[in-house]
Amino acid sequence: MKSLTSKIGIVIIAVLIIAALFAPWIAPHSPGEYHLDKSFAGSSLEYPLGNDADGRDILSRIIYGTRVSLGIGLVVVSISLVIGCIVGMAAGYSGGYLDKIFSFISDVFLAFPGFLFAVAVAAFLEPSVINVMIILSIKGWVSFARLVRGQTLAIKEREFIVAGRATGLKLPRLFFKHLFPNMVGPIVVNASFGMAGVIMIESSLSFLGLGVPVTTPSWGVMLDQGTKYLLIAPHLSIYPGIAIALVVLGFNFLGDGLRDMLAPKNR
Amino acid sequence: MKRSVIVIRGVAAFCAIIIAVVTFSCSKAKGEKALRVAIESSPVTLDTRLATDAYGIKISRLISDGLFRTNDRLEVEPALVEKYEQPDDKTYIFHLKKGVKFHNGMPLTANDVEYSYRSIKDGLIKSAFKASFNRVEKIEVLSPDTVKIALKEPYAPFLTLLTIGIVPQKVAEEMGDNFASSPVGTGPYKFVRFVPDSIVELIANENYYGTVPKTSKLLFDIIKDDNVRMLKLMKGDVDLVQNAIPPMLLSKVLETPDLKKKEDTGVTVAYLGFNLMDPILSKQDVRKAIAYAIDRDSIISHRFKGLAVKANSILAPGNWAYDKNLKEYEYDPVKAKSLLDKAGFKDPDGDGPKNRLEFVYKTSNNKERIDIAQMIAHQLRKVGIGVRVEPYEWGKFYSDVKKGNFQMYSLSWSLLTEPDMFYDVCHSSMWAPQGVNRNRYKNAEVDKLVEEGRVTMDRNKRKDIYAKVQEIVLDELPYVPLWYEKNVVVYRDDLKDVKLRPDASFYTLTEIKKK
Amino acid sequence: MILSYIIKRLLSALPVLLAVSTIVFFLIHAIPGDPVDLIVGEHALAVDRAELAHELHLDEPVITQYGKFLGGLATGDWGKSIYDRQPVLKHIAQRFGATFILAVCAMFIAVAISIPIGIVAAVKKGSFWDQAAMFFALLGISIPNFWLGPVLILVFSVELGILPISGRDSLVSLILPSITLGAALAAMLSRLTRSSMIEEIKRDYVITARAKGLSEKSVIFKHALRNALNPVITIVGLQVGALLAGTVITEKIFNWPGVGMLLLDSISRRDYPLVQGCILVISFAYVLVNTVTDCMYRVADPRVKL
Repeated sequence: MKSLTSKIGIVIIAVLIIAALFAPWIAPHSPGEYHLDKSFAGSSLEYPLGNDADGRDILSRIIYGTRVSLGIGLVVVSISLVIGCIVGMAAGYSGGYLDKIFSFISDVFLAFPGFLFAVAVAAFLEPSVINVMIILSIKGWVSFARLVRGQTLAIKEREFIVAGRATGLKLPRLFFKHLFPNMVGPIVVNASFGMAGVIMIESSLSFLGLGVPVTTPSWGVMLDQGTKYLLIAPHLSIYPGIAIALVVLGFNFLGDGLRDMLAPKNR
Repeated sequence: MKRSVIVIRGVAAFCAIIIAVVTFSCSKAKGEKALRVAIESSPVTLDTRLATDAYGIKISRLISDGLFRTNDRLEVEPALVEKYEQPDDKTYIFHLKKGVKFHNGMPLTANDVEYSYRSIKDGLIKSAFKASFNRVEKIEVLSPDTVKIALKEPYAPFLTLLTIGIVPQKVAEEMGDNFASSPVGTGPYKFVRFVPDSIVELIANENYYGTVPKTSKLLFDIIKDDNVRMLKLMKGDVDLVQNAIPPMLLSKVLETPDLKKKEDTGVTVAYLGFNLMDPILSKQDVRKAIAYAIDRDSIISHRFKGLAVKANSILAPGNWAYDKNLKEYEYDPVKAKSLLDKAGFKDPDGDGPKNRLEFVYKTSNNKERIDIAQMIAHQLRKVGIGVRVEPYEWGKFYSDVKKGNFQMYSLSWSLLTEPDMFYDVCHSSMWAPQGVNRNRYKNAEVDKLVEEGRVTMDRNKRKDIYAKVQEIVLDELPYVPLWYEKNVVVYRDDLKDVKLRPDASFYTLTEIKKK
Repeated sequence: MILSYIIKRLLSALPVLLAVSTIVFFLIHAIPGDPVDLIVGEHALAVDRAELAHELHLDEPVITQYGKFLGGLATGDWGKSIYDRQPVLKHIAQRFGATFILAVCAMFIAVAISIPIGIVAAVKKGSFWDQAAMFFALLGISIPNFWLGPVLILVFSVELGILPISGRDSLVSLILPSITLGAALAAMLSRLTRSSMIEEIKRDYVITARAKGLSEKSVIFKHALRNALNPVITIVGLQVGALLAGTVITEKIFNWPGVGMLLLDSISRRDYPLVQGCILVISFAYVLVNTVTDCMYRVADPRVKL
């Protein structure tokens, strides 16, 4: 982690995690508090990023919004990672029909542009945080599975695995004791980019009104509500947009740095 | 290796061709004398017999005149009818105006009238008005310009139904389902083209039997995005916008020096509906407490910037049947709290965070509606009523409301001009999902009154009946009337004779002159 | 050889298309709620409701519906819009052109911006310009297009007043939507061009060419660039599909009457056949473009075994 950009990435992510964890203590106001007299007000000492249409504090809403974005990102990436690792290892290790079926499924999933797939599923569900997590996980595991499958294929014929098999190691143990540690690097890199991707798609869905419920203070929702008043109060949409860009940038920086550190060959 | 360069050049050439084509096809000259009106959503259909959406009704009725039309006092007046007589309460004989021609030159005959209404009644086309026309016993052509319609039973608001336009039988039969994509009528404007979600183009009907429109061409530019619509108006790409600028943004639009504004009361009324089957909301005191706890003035001044008027009936004050003596639920949190105490919902912790009672408030996912719902919820929380706002996609919301799967919801009625709607909204036989009595209201006296109102032909007597209905309903509060939204038109100052009607119909466009 | 490869490749896309269609079909049937309610309204009679359900095949077993759906897909009968009863394919045909033009222009802009940036960054690897370019490239990937769009409108249409914000009136109205849609692709392609160029510059033939005394310009453009662009072309092909999907947001922001907006409108109207049609047509276009790019790539580069 030598590069400046990956350091910036780490700092951004650290700040956002702190904001998410300690939102009630950090946020200067309650995110749902109305101040009708402050409608569309610009920056002030009391409200550093100004107020929205109903006078709610934009900074506080953004701080609470980190919970939504990071939370959804973390859950989706974790689910995808677990499912992806299991499926990928199983497919790669056993080969044969299982592997063929997996390859077909992953081809089909890749035939949908990621965002379109999310819109397609979201179109038929009620907006809710849980639904967004499900939607993004349905496709999220595929990239992990492909990665893990490839790595498994590459590693499985190496001596230590063959030896382990010969000595009668049980499969799960073999997987997690020997296969898994050898692919942690690429998986972590993929997870970091995955966070960036998930947060981006979540906020896009919310922007379209298909993501988290509009009553939740999330960045995508704030941007959607803000663009309506673009002509009279651009700050309503600019700040949440910056928040999204920052967090996505942070995870991309981190991913780049991790890749340089852990898997230099991929460069 | 060289081929990759060839591919790139190929792609570049391809793009160049596309761009050339686009430029060419887009460079159509704009009509000079056209009146350009921006609207916020596409009409669903321009077949007057099918249209049930606001823009579909408003635009299709510029193309197709009916036997009657609604005038600027929301009364029904003859259009294609010269005169009519009513031998008894159930029978109407209509004499058509002579010499009226359809846009394609064919003369209007009684057969066309018979066909138009029969096609709805007999389900030749899938019209939502079919159920209404079930009241019709028989439609009979007496002569080329005389039609007789017999009803199964007397029905005072029947003529309102005949504002649905007349279509030429021959064309409509030939075109079937495609009639909607190039409708023909007798109205002040002729249909030119309709590109869904993009544009509707009409031209003046020079042979119109009434006053020929002052501007020869009428363009409806369908612009869904508020910002885009506003900017187009501000930049002069659009001449007029009616009711399609959010009130909070109106002052910004009016900063443009050559734009003018007119406003007037409208007939769209927002209301808060209660499920009277719900154990909490079946208590009248709770409903009254809610009515007193909503600070409608602050919502109107903040969210509507004054472009709404507090409502106490679902009939607009301009309506002939509106009861001027109705009381008003003024904002009174103290009274609200005491009503809640009386209903048995005591405050558990004074000013603390605990609520006296809690329920769910459903709304459609229209952004404006959600914002307002959240403000109402905020106000209710101040008197200890914990309300959780749940926005739903329109289909789900609407079906929940119909099924009675709700505690409280907000919706609005619009284009309501006939007091007979109290039958639909309040009669106990009209419970949703069959009818629109969505709140499951039942009151024997109201039932009797609305039944009477429907078969009473004398207007003054009807007025008294509906005054009584409005009074009872306002006291029992199956729903809280919130506010009437005002009509607002913003237009360029080179337009003359811009007017507003309470129902915000587009008939006003025919009078506009462009300098 | 080439022809048989292309045919084989196209055929291999069929099962994927079938699977995509199946997913879309069952998505639509998994939803709660009764579409008939919405169409005929509250005053409808039971007879009308049944008739409509019949017309939409909603009264048949799901498996029969599925059979009819697939049959319809193959024969070009994609059903009728619930909303206005026009054929789904007619709606899509009306809109596809707009989406296609927008996607192509976005791609064009992305390529035109990214390749020069990528080359400069590679040639001056490690310099300030390289770092600046790559920083902005990452920024470009990170900025959501639903933020970029409104900001561009604010700057160029409202403040400066030099570009129209939407509409189909002229070529200039394509500029802002294309930039919004193409920005992320441009950022991605400049990163890719750079890394691909760096690989090529290190290769033996470039070193030989330099040793032979060829000018730096000719080494870079005539030799290294041609090879470096091959992976870039592949990615461009792959991304046309992603651009088609990305138009959903861009079209919403700029009021652009394409398939993306049709999809969003249909979603809010619960017009299932049309939602189905839009998703299918974008997915099909995506699969098709990928297949074609793949073929083009193999045809263009004789080194790749067919």
